Amino acid sequence: MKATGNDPRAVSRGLGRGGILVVTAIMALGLASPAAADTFPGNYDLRLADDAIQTYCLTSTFFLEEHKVVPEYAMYWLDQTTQMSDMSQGTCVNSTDAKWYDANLPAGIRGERVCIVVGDIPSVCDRSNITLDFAELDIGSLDWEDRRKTACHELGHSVGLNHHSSGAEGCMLSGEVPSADVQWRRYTTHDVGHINAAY
Amino acid sequence: MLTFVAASLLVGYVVGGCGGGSGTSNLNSDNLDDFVAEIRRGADVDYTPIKDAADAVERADVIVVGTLTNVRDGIAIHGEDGLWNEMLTLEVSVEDVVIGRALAPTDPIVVQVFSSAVVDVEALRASLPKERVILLLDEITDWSPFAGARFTYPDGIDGETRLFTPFSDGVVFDGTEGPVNMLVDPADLADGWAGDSTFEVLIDRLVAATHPN
Repeated sequence: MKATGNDPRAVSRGLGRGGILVVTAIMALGLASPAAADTFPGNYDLRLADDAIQTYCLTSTFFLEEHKVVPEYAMYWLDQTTQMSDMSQGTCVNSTDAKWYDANLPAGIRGERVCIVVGDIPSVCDRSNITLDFAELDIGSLDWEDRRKTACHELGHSVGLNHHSSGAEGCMLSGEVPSADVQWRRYTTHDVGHINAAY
Repeated sequence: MLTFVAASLLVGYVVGGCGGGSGTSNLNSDNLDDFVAEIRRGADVDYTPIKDAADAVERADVIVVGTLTNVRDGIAIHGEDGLWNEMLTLEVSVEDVVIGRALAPTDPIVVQVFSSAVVDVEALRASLPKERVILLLDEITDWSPFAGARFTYPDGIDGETRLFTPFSDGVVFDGTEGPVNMLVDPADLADGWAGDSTFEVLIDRLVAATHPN
């Protein structure tokens, strides 16, 4: 299975919080990164995660093992295909960056990411709640792929990505995966460039 | 504050009748742009897109046309792991009901929409758009996101209130240059839905879809 994006082993790890502040300040001045043909962060709150290490937990809403592996998949591939790192915290704590929920979402919503805690830094979201609705994701075909695509999608929002941010394929597409191809479960090279420039 | 945007359509019901134009002028788009930009902040969803008017009628419990009259705090939902989401309340004066007439005209309609800690309710209130809006709604009166979810209600809403939530691509304003979707970008709309028509044509399509041949 070929991962989309830069080789995570060939580049240094994240900048840390101070680095993010610098990058954010640069972006705020309109000096976009080389990868930035579009806006980044392009999620609707225009905020980055607080640093390159994405701590995460699965809340008590997860019961089924086949569901628990889905957020793990997304976190793993964020770590493997970008300069960000994933770090499981087991138990959710106040400082956890990404709290995953297994829930019944209404009105055809497959997954949701909400910035739930903001701190003193205007360009940063300190914590995101990420929710997956497996019943909605399992409508139609390619359920295994759909689950992982949406987990990748919502995690992407939490680190700053928008829908179709590159105009190309990747997990930031809305709705069902068009095929079982791995590209729909990964960030595009363009999106990886944004992430790596910011973290 | 945290907002898991809710729209509470506390209905100022005007008239039944489907699909007619009101003659409302398409002004105030500065407000509409500001409102849309603010209400989206911090909540991003992946959703099953509405394919076309027929799909909208098939999936929605209620479709109404109206105008927003107020925005305020909404419902908060907690679980064992803390706060899951909060909501905003939008109050809407309903002009037409395309489907869902089983809702009595005097019934309040309360709609929940996802939002975030980033949204400024005062900014939303200051930019409340005057444009007419189509809302495709899913009833969530008995809905609970997960076992053990606890609901905290704002003034005027309680456990007896009938609750609705809009489809992500199902809140469409009558913008100056065409329909404006409140929660998603035009590029995310299905080709057959809301992207290639005027507001009035969209209503006509929805009405027509309620009476398939």
